[in-house]
Amino acid sequence: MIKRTLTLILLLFAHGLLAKDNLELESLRIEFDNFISQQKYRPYAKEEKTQAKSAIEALYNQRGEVKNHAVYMARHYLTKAKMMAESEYLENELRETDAQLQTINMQTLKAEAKLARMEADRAQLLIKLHAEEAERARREKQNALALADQKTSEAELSQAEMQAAQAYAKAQEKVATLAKQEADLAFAEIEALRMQLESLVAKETSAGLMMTLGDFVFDSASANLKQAAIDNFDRVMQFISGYPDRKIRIEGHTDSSGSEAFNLDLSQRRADAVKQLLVQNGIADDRIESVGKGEAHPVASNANEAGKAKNRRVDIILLK
Amino acid sequence: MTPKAFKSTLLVLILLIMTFLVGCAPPTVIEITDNTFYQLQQEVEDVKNSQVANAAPLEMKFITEKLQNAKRAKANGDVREEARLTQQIRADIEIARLRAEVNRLNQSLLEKRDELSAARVYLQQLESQLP
Repeated sequence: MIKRTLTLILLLFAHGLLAKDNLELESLRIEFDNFISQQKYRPYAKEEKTQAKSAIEALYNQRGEVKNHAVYMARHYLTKAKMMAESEYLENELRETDAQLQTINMQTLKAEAKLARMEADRAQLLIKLHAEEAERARREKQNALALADQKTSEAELSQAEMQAAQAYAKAQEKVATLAKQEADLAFAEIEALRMQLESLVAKETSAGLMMTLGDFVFDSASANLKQAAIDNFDRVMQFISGYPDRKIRIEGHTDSSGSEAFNLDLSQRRADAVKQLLVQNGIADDRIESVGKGEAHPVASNANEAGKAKNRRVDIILLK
Repeated sequence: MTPKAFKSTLLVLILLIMTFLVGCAPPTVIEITDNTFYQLQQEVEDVKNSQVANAAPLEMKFITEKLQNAKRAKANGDVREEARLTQQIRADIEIARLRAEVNRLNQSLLEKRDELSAARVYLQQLESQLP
């Protein structure tokens, strides 16, 4: 019994010594407990935490006037631990944020590079498009110039054609004029021939009545009778038909131009041509004799054209 | 009481007495010399002329007041009080420096987070332009 009582007294004494009724100390302890239980500060300021813990625990063994200073210093260690933890926490946050920023900056650089490549590709494409457009414009301009040249050529050609047509028309007009003139001349010649044929007169010669056809009834240097002469042979036929019982001798004559043989042959052929015409007009063949005299019996001088013209003739003689 | 029980009780008593004696021991306080105050004064002056003064104005107020008290304690020859105040002032300086550092880190973190946010927005803008 005595033992138990003594033990109880000793325990109560010890409790009285250790019990702290200082509220500030309790507050400090609670504050420390709250601090170390915060998850975000758990990895940091371990040394300072230990120091603060030791200081607070030491307070439980202190008393008297030194206690306020000890509490102050214990609070200082706690505050220091908190600030160190906060500082290290912030430093860690800064490192992590900086790492994130570096990552973002790297991604940004990649994105910028990608965009720059896209811009470059687009710029290259635009340059290509512009070049193609310029080439197309150049071709269009070239085509337009070619078309303009073609139009000009066509215009020039048209003008040349028009000028050619005008020239042709003028030439045709000239040809027509000439043709008309030729026609007029032919008509005049025919008319002259007709008048000459109509104006033929017979004259009495020793061989009989003779009518002389000038060389105008023949083509030049030929035995072909002109169509106009054939058509206007009425005067000759009237002359012959007036004497149906007489024989007819036809004599061909030439001028002295050319060889004698040629002239003889030409005169014979001309005489034959007249005979043939008479036969065609109903005169009996056996009444007619055709003779080529050549240049042997001129009636005028062969020294001039007028004389030569008179010498080129065919005499139709109605024999006695 | 048997001799064995007596021994046990005596051991408990000895332990309790030792614990009591340890609890009555004076707290650890720095040693004070003639130059301690002047060194402290210079340390306070250095802090006042630094960025810490702007970052921790409350601590600076306490430091200034305690420095005056320390000066007074020195003048009165109260070495123990001077030692306690010197220790507290140095602790306050340390806390002031830490507070300034924490403020600086907070500011840096805010700026860094702003930078990160802006970078994210810019990246999103870039990515929206990509096919």
